This record gives sequence, C-alpha cells and structure tokens, in this order.
Amino acid sequence: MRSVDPRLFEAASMLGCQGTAQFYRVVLPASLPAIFTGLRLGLGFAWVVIVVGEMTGVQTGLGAIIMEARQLSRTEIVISGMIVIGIAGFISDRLVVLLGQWLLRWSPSHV
Amino acid sequence: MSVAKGEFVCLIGASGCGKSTLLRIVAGFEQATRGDALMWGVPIAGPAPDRGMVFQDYGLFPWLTVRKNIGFGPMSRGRPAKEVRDTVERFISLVGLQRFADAFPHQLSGGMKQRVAIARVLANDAEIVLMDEPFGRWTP
Repeated sequence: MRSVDPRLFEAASMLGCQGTAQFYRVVLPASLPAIFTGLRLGLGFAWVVIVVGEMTGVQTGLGAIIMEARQLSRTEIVISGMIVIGIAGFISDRLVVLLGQWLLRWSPSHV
Repeated sequence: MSVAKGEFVCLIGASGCGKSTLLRIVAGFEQATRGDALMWGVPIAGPAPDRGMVFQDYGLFPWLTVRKNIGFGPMSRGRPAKEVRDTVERFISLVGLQRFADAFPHQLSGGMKQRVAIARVLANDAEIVLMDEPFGRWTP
C-alpha cells in the first residue's frame, strides 16, 4: 500500500472515490504486479516443499513414489517421477505467467 | 483573492513561488498554514469531486484504458451505467481521442495523456477546474 504512487490517491479522491472504494479501485490494481511476482516465487517454493515433504513424512504422492522406487532400485520410475515434477512445475508456472500477462497488460514492464 | 463563478484566472510566477501549492490547497490536498480557503463561503476540508484537478504529471490510472479513466469519476459517484457511457463518449470525442479510447496510458504520448487528464475532470462535472500547467505538452 505504501508503494502506491500518492498522486493516484489524490487523483481518486478529487474524482470522488474515497474510503474503502479507494482500496478496491486504487490500492488493489496498483499492487497487482507485486502480488503476481510474489505468487510466482511462492509457487516455485511450494513445489520444492511439497516434494521434499512427500519424500520424508507423507506416504503418498510423487515424492513418496520416487523414494519407494529408489529403495526397490527401479531407476526408471525415479527418473520419470523427476520428469513429471519438472513438467508439472513448468506448466503451473506458465499458467501463473499467462494469467499475470493478461491482468497486467496495462503495465509497460510486464508486456 | 476571490474568484467569481465563470471567471478564468491564470497564476503566473517564478518557479517555486507557490503556484502549485495554492492549487493544492484549493483542491484540498494540503492545509493552508495561514489564512483560509473557502468555496461558496464554506472552508475547504479535503478533496472533493466539486473541485477537479489536472495534475502536471497527469496522475492517470495506468491500469485503466482512456475510456475507463474518463469514466472513473462518474462511476465513483454512482452515476447510472448508461449515463457514464454517454458522458465518456462525449468527452472522448471532445478531446479527439476516439482512436485511442481503449489504449492504456503507457501507450499514449504526453499530450494525449494530458487531454485524458483534462477530459476526466470535465466529465466529472467539477464546479471548479484547477489546472497545473495543463497545456505544457498540449499538441492539438
């Protein structure tokens, strides 16, 4: 909220947009670029955490399958598990980027 | 100094002498350290849509198209959608930006942004229009 150009608050209030409406119509759209950057970073981190979690504690999921295959020396399952994680991570990142590009098409630094 | 209805006043002075500050006090963005600022005899308490301001650096909303920037004021004041649309179209043609109605501010030249900033205030039915170097980059 503090990073929003104060000029935009002035512009909104002299046009009759005050109080909570200013949050939805000025603060939220102005913060969207930062929100999307955070979303993308968070998504990458979430993939790492979930796979590591599955490898150690949780009994189901890709990480658990990879660990089980490792114990049974099924290298082909280990490698395909790695590829699947890579593809899924890539696709989810692309989805966030595409959504961001569409929502941020007004921002010269995002096109 | 007092300004009557329908009067057109120009402030001229060296840079730093307080032209912009005076406008900002009338707009309600700043408090006067001495003296009073009144409108229709009532002290100015803060920014309000009856006092529109055209900023030197435009202050357009970068995430809104030209059309939506001009419609921002009428929309915020809760005008009916049809009235907003009509008003917006009228002022877009007034400033001659029909071809750029759906462009975003970053796609416009300085003069075009300035025209949007002026249209946005006029479309909002402001009783007094405060303009800070409004025609500095005007290219008709």
